[in-house]
Amino acid sequence: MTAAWLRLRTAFHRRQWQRDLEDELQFHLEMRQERCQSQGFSAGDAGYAARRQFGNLMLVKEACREMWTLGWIETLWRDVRYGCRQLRLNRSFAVVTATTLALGIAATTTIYSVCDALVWKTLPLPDPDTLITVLGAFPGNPHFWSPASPAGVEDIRKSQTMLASLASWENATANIVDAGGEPLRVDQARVTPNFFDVLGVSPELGRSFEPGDDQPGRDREVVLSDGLWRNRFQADRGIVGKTIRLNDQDYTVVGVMPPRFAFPRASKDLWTPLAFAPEERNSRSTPRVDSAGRMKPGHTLRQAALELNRLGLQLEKLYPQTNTNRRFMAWPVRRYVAGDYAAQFANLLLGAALFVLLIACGNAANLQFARGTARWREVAVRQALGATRWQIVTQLVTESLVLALAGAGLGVVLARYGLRAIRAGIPPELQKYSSGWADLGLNAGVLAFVLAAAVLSGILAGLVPALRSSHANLAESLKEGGHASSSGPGRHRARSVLLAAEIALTMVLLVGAGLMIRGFHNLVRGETAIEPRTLLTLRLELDATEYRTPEKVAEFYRLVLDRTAALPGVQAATAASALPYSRHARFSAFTISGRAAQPGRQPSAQLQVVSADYLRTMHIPLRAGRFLSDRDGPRFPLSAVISEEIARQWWPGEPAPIGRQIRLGMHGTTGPVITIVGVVGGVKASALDRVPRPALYVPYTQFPEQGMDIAIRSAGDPLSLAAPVRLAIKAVDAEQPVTDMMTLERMKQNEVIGLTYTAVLMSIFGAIALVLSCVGVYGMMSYLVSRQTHEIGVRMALGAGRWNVLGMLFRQGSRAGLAGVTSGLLLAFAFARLLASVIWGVSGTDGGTFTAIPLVLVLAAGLAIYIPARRALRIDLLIALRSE
Amino acid sequence: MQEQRPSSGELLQGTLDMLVLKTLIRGPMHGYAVVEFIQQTSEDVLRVEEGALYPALHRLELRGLLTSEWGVSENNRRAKYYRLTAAGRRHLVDETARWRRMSAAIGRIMEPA
Repeated sequence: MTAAWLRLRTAFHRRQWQRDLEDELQFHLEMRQERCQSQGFSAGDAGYAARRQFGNLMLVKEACREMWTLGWIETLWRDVRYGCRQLRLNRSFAVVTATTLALGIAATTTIYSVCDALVWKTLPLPDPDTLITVLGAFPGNPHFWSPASPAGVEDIRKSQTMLASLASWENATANIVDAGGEPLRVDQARVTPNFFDVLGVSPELGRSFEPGDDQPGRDREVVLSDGLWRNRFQADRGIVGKTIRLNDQDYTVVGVMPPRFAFPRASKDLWTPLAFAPEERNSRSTPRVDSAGRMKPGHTLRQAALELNRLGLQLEKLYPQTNTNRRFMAWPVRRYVAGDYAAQFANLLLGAALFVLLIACGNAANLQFARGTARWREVAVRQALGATRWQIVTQLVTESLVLALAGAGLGVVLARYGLRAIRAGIPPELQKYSSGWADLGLNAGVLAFVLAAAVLSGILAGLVPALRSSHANLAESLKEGGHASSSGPGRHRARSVLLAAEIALTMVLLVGAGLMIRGFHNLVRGETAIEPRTLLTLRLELDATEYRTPEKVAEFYRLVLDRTAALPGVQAATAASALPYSRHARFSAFTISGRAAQPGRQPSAQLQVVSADYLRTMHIPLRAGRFLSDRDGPRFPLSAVISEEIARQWWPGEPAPIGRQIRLGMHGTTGPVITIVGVVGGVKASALDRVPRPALYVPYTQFPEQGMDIAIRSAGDPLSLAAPVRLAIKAVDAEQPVTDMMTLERMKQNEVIGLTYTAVLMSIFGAIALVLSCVGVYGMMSYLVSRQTHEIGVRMALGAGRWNVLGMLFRQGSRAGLAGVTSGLLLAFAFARLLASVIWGVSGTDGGTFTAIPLVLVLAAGLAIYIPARRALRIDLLIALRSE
Repeated sequence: MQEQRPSSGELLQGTLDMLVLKTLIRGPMHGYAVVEFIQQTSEDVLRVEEGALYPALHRLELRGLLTSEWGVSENNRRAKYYRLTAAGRRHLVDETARWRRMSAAIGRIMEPA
């Protein structure tokens, strides 16, 4: 302990300590010399005698110094300082290498932060590993889930052996209106009374729900989120027990949740008890609720999933009408919250970023190879002076580490900008769905990752060149005078392999980026006929208390549409229960009059409740019959327009089944008869649709809906209509919240934002990789040319033509390039298949991408070869011949 | 820390350490005085290669058996004085006892012949 402390203290006063040692020994020698002189020696002889008696002064000093050092730490520090001095001497090398690594580290750090904040973060719930979500599933499609029916969840609760508890919830929205405030639409979850207990979080104020709160009539209680409590209720600590108006009904506030609580979504503002009427509770045909449960100790998610699947099979046999092709599955709660696709995109991007880092490491290694050549003599001299190979390798790797750490510093700065840009691109209406966006940033975990990445890449980029450099033939290199031509073929080969690997990785990245862009383009092109740029959309959600009767609902929408249509600049105002790209789409089964039920063949379609001129305004073509019209009112026969997909599937021999009759609902329904009056073209209602959906359009005047999307076709900029449209709606009902106001184009972009981001980031990574690889090829070529200046001079003096020389250089330079392109293509092909299997809309065999990308790469590499080669041709013969 | 042993004349390192400690029990001394004392007292039988003393002094200092401070020598020069610490005294006692046992044992073996 004392020793360590003493050593540490001297480490900080190393110079003083050295002087003291010198003084101490010098004092001894002088004393001895004086003593000898007093015994009759001459001054010179006395000095000699003193030194002889003393022994080897150097060894003594070395022994003392050795004793007082901190061992490897000080060696490292010495190496670092030596490295810094060397790097200062060769600034351009240092800057290029550090920048190269910075690009790789910045890319990786940015994506790592995104994954960390959005995908990997542990939820702020106690013991998240025992919490699983239970969802409705479809056999063979592990990524697609739906809510489960209430009766199905009840079956799970009864039969499950691995879950200690199970809570369910249904997502909804609610309108809050209270004196003075703007009407507010909030995100609501209707939850079983045990919801908070299962999650293990209790309210900050008040209490959670109690058993029995789920009985109709006893469900007028509400728990507020911290955010809503602060923003809407001014953080009133006495709010528990007070009554608030929710959907025009009185609810008693029983609790307020702590600040970080956000489940099932970050956007949840309040929770109310989920009260089912008996017929709702027993329903198997309405998928309504998601569930989460705590596993009993000792069980795994896999076991629970198997048990759930078995139950799904049993229910399918028991209730073939409703449960055919329906299963249950269990997801870790994090997968449910972060979203399945988010995780896949994030992993894909992390992989791409790591590729960039690898390419950067390859480049940095290549640069150090080149520098190793220039330092041949330095290494040889140090070896001649007795440095071991280990000492030289450590020193060179330390230098590489210094560069990597400098690169990490720069990379962190770049990553900060990158993260800012990424967050800026996510519209607020999407950010609210994940609490991760608020936490996105360079936290301690990320910085630790940066440090690890820097150290690893420093070693990766430095070790091989260092091993090669230190493997010097001493006599040879000293004799050659450190000239470049002393490099053996081995180091040349190592560089070529590195370069080929870089080019191969670049190829994979670029092909990936190309495929993503193609896929993205195909998706987003979507339905161009709709012209989403000139449509202003918004959502209205009427509350069932105030708008109790269908007539009232229809009247409200009629007024809203009339008033907005009358605004200047509005070409048409229409309503639909679910606009394309919205998340409101609802499917409904229907039955065809006069046809018997066929098991497993239940007709169904997206049910669209629309205003009369919706189809015309959305530019959906009429194929037969007529559009819906204003005359399809409540007192007239119920009418519907079907899309041609329905006509083709259910009336295959009949081009236009006009006049045919259907009923909404499953077989056995007793709903009213609806007559088909028209057939229209199909619409891809989502950017993810590859083919148009079967759709069934009915007029809102006959089938009023509480919640409708409004689409307003404008002559000019749709957003300029936002304020007048709000006023027009307010004039109809001052307390009605208006939400999600944006152009349909934006809604479309939002739907595919994950893919957009992946495509854009992949392209950026691909571009960085391309630049880095070209720099690598260029550096290699410059090196080859400078190495062969003499040879080129000789060849040209002997009469070789320019083209001959150029050809020779190209052959040398393109060997690595071609190897890289070939192996890269093979890798890229495998990667493309993976990509296509993971990301919807991406084709793995896109011929265009597979021709264009290699072409771009070959051209870029050719340019990187040509520029240094051209320089070789301009060499003055005399200078070239003298160059050695 | 590797125990490097520069050639220490005829003296083993442990013995040299013991002698240094024993010498310093007389009070603070600089290195030269320690050498002089050992040589004179042993009537020049124990000739230390003088340089070897210094690694020994530094080692003892690092082990906390000695402390050092800069002072002024008898002829008015800056010199480094070593002083025995409490730990050094205890160590010396132990070493002395050990040495006595050893030399007695060796004596018993050597005497009868």
